[in-house]
Amino acid sequence: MEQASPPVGLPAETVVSEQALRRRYVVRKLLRSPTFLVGLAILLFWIFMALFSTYVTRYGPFAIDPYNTLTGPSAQHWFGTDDSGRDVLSRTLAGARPVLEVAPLATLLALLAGTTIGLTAGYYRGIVDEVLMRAVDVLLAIPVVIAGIVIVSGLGASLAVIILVIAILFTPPVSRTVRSAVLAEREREYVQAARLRGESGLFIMAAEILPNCLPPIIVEGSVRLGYAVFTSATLSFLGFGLQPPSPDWGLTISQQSQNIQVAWWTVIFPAVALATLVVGANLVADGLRRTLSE
Amino acid sequence: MAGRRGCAAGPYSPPARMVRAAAGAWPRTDDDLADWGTSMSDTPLQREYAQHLVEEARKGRMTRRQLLVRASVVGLSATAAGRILAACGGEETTSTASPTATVSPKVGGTLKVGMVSPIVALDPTTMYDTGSIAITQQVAEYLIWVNNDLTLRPVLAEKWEPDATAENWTFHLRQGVTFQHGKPFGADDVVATMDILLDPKTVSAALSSFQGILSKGGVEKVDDSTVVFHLDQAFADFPYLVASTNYDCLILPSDYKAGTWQKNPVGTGPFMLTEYKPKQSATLKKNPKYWQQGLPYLDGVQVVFNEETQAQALALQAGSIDMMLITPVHGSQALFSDPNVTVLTTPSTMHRELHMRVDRKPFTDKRVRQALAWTLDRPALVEAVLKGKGEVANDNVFFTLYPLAPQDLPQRDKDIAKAKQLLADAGYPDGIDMDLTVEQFEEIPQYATLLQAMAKEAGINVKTNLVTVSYYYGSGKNQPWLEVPMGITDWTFRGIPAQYYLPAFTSKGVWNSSHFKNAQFDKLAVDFETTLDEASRRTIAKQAAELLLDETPAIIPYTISVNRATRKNVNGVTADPAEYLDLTKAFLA
Repeated sequence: MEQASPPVGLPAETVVSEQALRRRYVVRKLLRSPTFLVGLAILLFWIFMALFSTYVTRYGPFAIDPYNTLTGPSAQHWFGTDDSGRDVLSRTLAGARPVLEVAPLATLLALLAGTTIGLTAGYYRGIVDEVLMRAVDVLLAIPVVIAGIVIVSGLGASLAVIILVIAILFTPPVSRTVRSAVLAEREREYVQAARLRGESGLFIMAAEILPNCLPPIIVEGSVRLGYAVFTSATLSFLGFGLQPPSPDWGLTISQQSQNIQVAWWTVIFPAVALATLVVGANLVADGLRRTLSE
Repeated sequence: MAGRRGCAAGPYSPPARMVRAAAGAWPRTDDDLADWGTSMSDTPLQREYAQHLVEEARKGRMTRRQLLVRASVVGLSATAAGRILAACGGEETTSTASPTATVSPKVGGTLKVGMVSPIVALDPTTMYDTGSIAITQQVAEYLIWVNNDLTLRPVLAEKWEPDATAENWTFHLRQGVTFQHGKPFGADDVVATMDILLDPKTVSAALSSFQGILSKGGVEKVDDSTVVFHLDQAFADFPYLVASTNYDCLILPSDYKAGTWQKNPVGTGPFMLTEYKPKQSATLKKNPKYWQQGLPYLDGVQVVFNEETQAQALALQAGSIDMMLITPVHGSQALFSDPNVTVLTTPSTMHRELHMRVDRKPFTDKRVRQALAWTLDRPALVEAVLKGKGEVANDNVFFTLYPLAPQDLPQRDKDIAKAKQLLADAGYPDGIDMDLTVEQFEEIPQYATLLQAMAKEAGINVKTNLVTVSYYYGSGKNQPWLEVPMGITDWTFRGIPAQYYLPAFTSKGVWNSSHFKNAQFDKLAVDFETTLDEASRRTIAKQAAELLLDETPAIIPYTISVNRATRKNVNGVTADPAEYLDLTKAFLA
């Protein structure tokens, strides 16, 4: 990939490193990709809401109003009220925070662990590879949600536990992706050159192979982000995630689903919010994959 | 509201005609008084008691309904009860005309009922779940049925009376009744059934109500139609313990072999169980030899099991079932505005008990417990959580539905300033944290959410832990609900307050989840049931209620009315405070 020719039209005198050129090219390409831009806009919107929703909305996400429960969308409550008289709009927007506390952190942890395992297995091959990959296979065979439920009910549902659970469950697929990328790279000349120079394995993995494997890792991360959002919502929906009165979308959908016949707005809006965030993350992943794999 | 409800119409309540005839006729002289509540068949004790009731009513200490309930407990005849009632003024009629009273019954047809599935094999002697109880009640019958207004309706027992000590109760059984397999009903069957229920090896749910009151061998056959219950201690409300409110007390034939009921369902009831598919359906056919002439009206009942309220509600709207056994507001709100559906409602003593471990910090200080109680806006809870289908309660179990409920107890309401003051006095001027375990059951999570928001106003941070029902109750040695520092437990209807406070608030109570131990309350608990004099009982009830209110081992913010949704063509059915099912007079128009 590093051989990709710099875009034409650049003055030959300009002294820019090949890497920087490449980066600039990718960014420009991404900014011209509608898929990526739409996804990014959605993500930024929810990140903004996660941080500042309470300054934007008229009602607090926890403010009850026992005498105005399950009222439909109106000028006062654009998205209506839920069964405790809370403003659905406020809660839907505030619901971005718990998800965005869990999903990116869990994804990041999974990337770190998965990359370490993938690099080690792919670089050293042999017995190391066998042991690590069989362990990964075992973990992959366990259904994510069921494993999540078991661990969360054993350790108790705290934010840290949920993040850790999702990270653990997402490590195996990440490590597989990284390993296959490493396998392709390790036979290249620059790796052999580094070996001949007498560099340590650790140095070769971190400084030589890793930078060249970054594109698939970034794509993998953005894909996992979408899944992490979904998994955290699923755990909450099943009652193994966050506790009421958290405005978490999965929890809200589960709590309010009893009212769907008379008050669709209590369920539909958080469901749509959840969907947009997942779709947003996937669009970003899609854009990245297309651009980076060119 | 509950105090104003009349009793359901039936052979057990005085005919309205008679009540009206005697309306306004107050006892003026001693001669009149001597005549009140007497009837050829009443014993001297009953007659004395009747006079006593009249005095209570004249002093304004009892409402008409309460009086009627008490009269039925000691087994006063309908005639006597009617006359006592008449003595208290005739402004209100006592029988509520059911909405279907104008429709003449139609014979035939099959009623389709949706309900939750029995959770274990059908066995009337050990069952404890709503589904099992509703099915078996169609096939077998109780000695006494507890009406919605807590009066007692004689079923297999025709009459009953206590002796002067209330330690021995004589029950006269109905004659001419036969079981569905042909055996005539008699005293032997009552003795045999009670022997099964009272045998600790049976592990009957009925045992919890009999503990310390009636033991195995305490039931004696006098003749073929008379039995005497010899109690371990006097118990003024004893008939409730062998009535429908102690749901395992369905009378089975003496040749019944324990544990065989699902295979050979038997009883004296209006319907025969012809087919039972666990978790799917049950088919019931009319008992052609039923002892009540001309009843039941229906040819049969088809029961469809479904665990989800919402699914049942949809089936009802679609017309694939005719009625739901129970219709909790949570999950069935669409029915309340459906023109094809009637939602019947009746007040009940069903409630949620928020218990606090009085032996654990911070709840060792009663001011902390009181503070939390003062944060609740109870009318708002009833409105938001029950959509108004309930009533405000006052942190004690002497609910207004009970005849001896204290009437002048100050009602706790929202008072944030007071709550803050109590917290400050208890040493928490800057607020306090509490952990609340919440079971995922009907409206309880929503109640917890509102409680959180309300408590916050006084600086109380309630952290909730939402758990499944099966986790919350556990089993054997692991029963989290009895151990958690603070939890919300669902209690169903009970006919008398003793069925709540004995297990929940006495030192030896098996369901004492607040770990409340108070010698004074223990004494009041015993006194209440061993005292026969109504005025003294009322005083004891008030003392006990005041004590619970002051100590606040538990917060009980509301009682829940029980709803039952039917399609418009279903008649002769009422909502039942205990979620029971009586289809004897049901018919399809």
